[in-house]
Amino acid sequence: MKPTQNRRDFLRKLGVTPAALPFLTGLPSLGYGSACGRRQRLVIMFSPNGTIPSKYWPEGEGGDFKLSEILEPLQPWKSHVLQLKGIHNKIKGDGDRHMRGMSCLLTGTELFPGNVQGGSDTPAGWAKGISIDQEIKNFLQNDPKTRTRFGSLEFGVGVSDRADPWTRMSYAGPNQPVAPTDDPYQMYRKLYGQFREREDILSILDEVHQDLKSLSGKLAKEDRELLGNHMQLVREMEKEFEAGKGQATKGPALQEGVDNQNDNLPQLSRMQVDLLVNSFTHDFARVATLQYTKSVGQARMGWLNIQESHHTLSHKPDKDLDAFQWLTQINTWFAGELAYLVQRLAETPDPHGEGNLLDNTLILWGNELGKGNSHTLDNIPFTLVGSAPGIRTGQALDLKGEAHNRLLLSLAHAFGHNLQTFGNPQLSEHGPLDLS
Amino acid sequence: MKCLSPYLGLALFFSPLSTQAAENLENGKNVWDKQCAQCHGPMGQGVKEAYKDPLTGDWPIHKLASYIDKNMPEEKPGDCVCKDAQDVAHYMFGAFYSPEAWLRINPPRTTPSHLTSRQIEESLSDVLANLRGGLVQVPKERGLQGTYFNDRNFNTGKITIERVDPSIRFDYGENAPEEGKLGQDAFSVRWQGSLLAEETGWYEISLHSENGCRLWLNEEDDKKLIDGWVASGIMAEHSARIRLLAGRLYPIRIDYFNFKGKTASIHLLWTPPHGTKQIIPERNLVPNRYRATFVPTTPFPPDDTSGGYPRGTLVSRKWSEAAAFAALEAADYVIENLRRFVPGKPEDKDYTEKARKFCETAATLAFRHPLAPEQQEKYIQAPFSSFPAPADAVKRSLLLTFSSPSFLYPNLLDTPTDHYSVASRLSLALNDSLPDKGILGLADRKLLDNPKILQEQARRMLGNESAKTKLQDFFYHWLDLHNTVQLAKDKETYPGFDAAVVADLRTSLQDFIRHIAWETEEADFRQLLQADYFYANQRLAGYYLPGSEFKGNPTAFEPIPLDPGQRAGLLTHPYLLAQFAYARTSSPIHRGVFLTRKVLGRRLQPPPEAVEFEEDKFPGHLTLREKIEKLTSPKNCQGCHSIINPLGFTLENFDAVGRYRKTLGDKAIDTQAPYTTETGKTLVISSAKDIAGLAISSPSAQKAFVKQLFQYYTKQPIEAFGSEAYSKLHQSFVDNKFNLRELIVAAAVLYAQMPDLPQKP
Repeated sequence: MKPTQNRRDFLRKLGVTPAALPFLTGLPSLGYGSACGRRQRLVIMFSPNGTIPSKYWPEGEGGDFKLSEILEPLQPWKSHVLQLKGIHNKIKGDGDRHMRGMSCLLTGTELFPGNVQGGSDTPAGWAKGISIDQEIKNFLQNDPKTRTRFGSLEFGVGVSDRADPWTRMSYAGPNQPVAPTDDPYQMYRKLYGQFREREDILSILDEVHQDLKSLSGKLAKEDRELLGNHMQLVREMEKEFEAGKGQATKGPALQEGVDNQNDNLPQLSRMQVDLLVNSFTHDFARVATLQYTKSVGQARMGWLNIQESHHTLSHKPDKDLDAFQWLTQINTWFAGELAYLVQRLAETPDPHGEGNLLDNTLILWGNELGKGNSHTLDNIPFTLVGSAPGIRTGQALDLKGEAHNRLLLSLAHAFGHNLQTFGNPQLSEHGPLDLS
Repeated sequence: MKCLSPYLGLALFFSPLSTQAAENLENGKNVWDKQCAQCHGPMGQGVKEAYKDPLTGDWPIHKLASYIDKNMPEEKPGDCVCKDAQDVAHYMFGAFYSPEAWLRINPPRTTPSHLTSRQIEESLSDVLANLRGGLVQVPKERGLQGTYFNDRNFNTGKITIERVDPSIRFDYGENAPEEGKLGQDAFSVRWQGSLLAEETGWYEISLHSENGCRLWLNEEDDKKLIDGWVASGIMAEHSARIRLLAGRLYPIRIDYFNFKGKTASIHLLWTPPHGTKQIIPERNLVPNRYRATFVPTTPFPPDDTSGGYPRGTLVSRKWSEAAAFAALEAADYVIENLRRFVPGKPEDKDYTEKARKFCETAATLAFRHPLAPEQQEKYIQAPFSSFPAPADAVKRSLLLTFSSPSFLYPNLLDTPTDHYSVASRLSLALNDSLPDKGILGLADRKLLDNPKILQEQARRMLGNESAKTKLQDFFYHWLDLHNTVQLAKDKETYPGFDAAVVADLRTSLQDFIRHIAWETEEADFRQLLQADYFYANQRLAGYYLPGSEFKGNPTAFEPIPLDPGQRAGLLTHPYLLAQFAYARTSSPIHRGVFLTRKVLGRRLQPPPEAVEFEEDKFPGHLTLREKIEKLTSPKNCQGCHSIINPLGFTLENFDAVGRYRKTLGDKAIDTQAPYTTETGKTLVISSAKDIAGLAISSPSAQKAFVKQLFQYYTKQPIEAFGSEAYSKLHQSFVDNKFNLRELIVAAAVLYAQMPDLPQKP
């Protein structure tokens, strides 16, 4: 469907001026996060099928490094970037590498044996443990000072409507995958549904009232009572909905009628990012995941003039220069979406406390594989952006083969959740990585 | 102030007035005229500058009297006390205060009303169904179409078996579904068809399996209701809730596979409204696949039933909000499925025009009338000129249409009665919904002033599934079975009478009514009161006929004879008998009141004072009947209980769960009692069959049934159609040998031909 016009236009047509729709921020009516302490937030972004290492990893190490081609969109935010090479997903056991890459990425633990067969290895089921985003969410929700309306929000972009170990990285516990929502309208309804519906209804109440009045005028006197009551109630509803508008939390203006399909991924991505940022502004949640497609994702990025689908391309050998170039472009596009998120966070003042949202948000961008055509789980392309206690950005590190469980532990520690191990205990040995 | 009552309470209304009583009434009238009429008006109609509201209500006489005694006249309480207060209360009650008196001096007229909640839901669902090609008839075939694949991926090249499975309850253990045809460790099965809902409400759907499974219900896109694709060989239960409207078919698909699981099994279950969790039975599965249906989920407040039947004569805040939100739900559903409702692409040249036409059709259907020019302007043109994007215009147009009084108030049309109003009323009466294409075509051709054509159409529309669910709902209403959620019995006294038996009883009653009304030529109402069989599945048969052998499909319901000679159709259906009973004992009073009011159509006043029956306060050697006779022996109880008790006692052969019994404790049950009919004749009655005989032979009982059915179907008081029409309707029922279907047709046709409300001159 052709994108049409945004919600503000829609409302204006209904005679409601945008001025009457202030984008109020941080009202305590729905988000009920605490009024004290810094609001610390976490976003985990995922894109699939490995990267092109030579175009991804930076030149140089430590503070003196140069962003590579794929990370070029993050150039304006270089001082907020921490690139982490040398982190391996060392989970073994059932499931092919895409499955383990995905379902173990945030859980750091093995998969159950099961009935889902990949292209190789043994069939598998769901992950055996909770994922780090849900672990941190629970930690924050357990404390009234950091508790929010939703705790965490799981955004998706073009995930596809399948539930299997390739499509789920978030787990509430063993065998409990958490589905991301990849329809922005559905997410909008979840976040602001009652307001949208009330607005829609408010937009017609005056006409309903007119109709009732004109119908009533045609009736004999003794038959008018019912319509009279109805008219009065319509006016009451109108007053209440109108009054509620001023206090209501508003969502961002979304384009109407964007179908949830491949060609619309660029728009869908921006809509989801806008919703994510808005949900932070209103303190609906402190933790969010943003999942682009799924492991083995087959996005066809026609908007980059690439007609072949992503996973198929990722299997091509390095010497296929076209594929090499296209995969670089694809990964650069994901970096661009990350940059958009970073920019939106940076330009949005934190309604609570100091600075902007980026000052109080840590983003981890990850992938289920290190490299597509080798299906390696080594050197997962991890990049951190933003800030959190104990994490120094503006540098590039090579950790030379540490288990990714230690990175997950670092995230927990950055939120004050000082776990000893996470996921597989052996792989958690030596605790969190030193990222300061 | 304490006064002694010279009255015998309600006996007044059932026996000729004594001279004393006549004198008292005379005094009451004098007191009224002197002391009360000034403020309340001569007939209690109210006086503008004084007490302006009409004086009518449901207080019993003694309460009225005591209120007057203490508080009246307002400026000088104490001027009307004791006997005067009692006399005036009696006079008022009979002259205008009681609901009956009020009805007598203010004969009802047809009243403005909006659609009932059921009518809104059915209409919204049907508008959208009609916009996609119309409703479907429920076919005869049952079960789901199963396709079995000899691989785990539903590979069409590996189809091994195709067959219809009656229900999904398969336990393959360590084997494959068909030994030798499918591999045990890698096979897949797809079941497709439709689900037939028999009740409106929320259903819980469950799949139980240790293997992979998915389920789609009422969905044409890929949105799954249940996704249990990933499995680790551990038995799992996947459940989801969905709301369904009764009498409709919903597309269903289940994909199931085993891959390297040691064992394999799959079960498809549901918990329907009023039901318990069970395998979805064969009767609710159909092998053909139909389109998805819009089902509104907005909860509505209950309809006004103060007149004795649900109708749309109340608007509350909750109702007006629900109506608006349901309209929005319908509009949103269309937008979500826009490509199905308006095929093509927004950028197509003629797309806007197609969308505009679509909205016009929607409004025409919803308003049950071609659009007037100003409606055309308001509901179609205006949205399309304000919104350049077709999707926005469609949403706006539909939201306006479905919230419009032209949709919500069908009997307040802008135009005088015409052929379309006739079509609209006929459809509302029969189907609680909008006119279908067939009858709209006849309205276009202005043929609906022909009673013969109307009758033909009514008979045709009776074939719709919604006509069947409406009759079912009428009987629940008539039999006071609308609120049966709590039906439970003492577990020690009635072991085995659990929620599953209760749910089965409901189905049993439903099937019995369905059989008589729709499956027999005669559709004879008398059969409903006289049949001596009931419908049972294996569980019910086991409970009510222990030791009997149930042949046939254990989950299917079949007619089986029950206590030959003892049963009288609905009157002795265990669902009803259990409803009108306590947890441990039967309740002759509840049963008697039900029989008096509903079955024999006699009026009862509310009891002058509420008396609780506390069985253990009576000497233990008395039978239940003796205790009740003692309790209701005071003269001011006897006015009503002389009728209620004998009727109730005839059913004493049935215990609190409706099983037949001859003795209670060590005593034989005496069901015989004298009963005085409304014409003053005294008969001896002793069984349910006697009551069925009375109900069938008494013209006033027949008339009462006709009235209740008419009012339930049309939502209008029958008195408003004149006593002649009422008598004619009754006579036609008798002439047609009590044919229920013909009674419904006649009632609907009578209603369809009524004039619209008077317009302002």
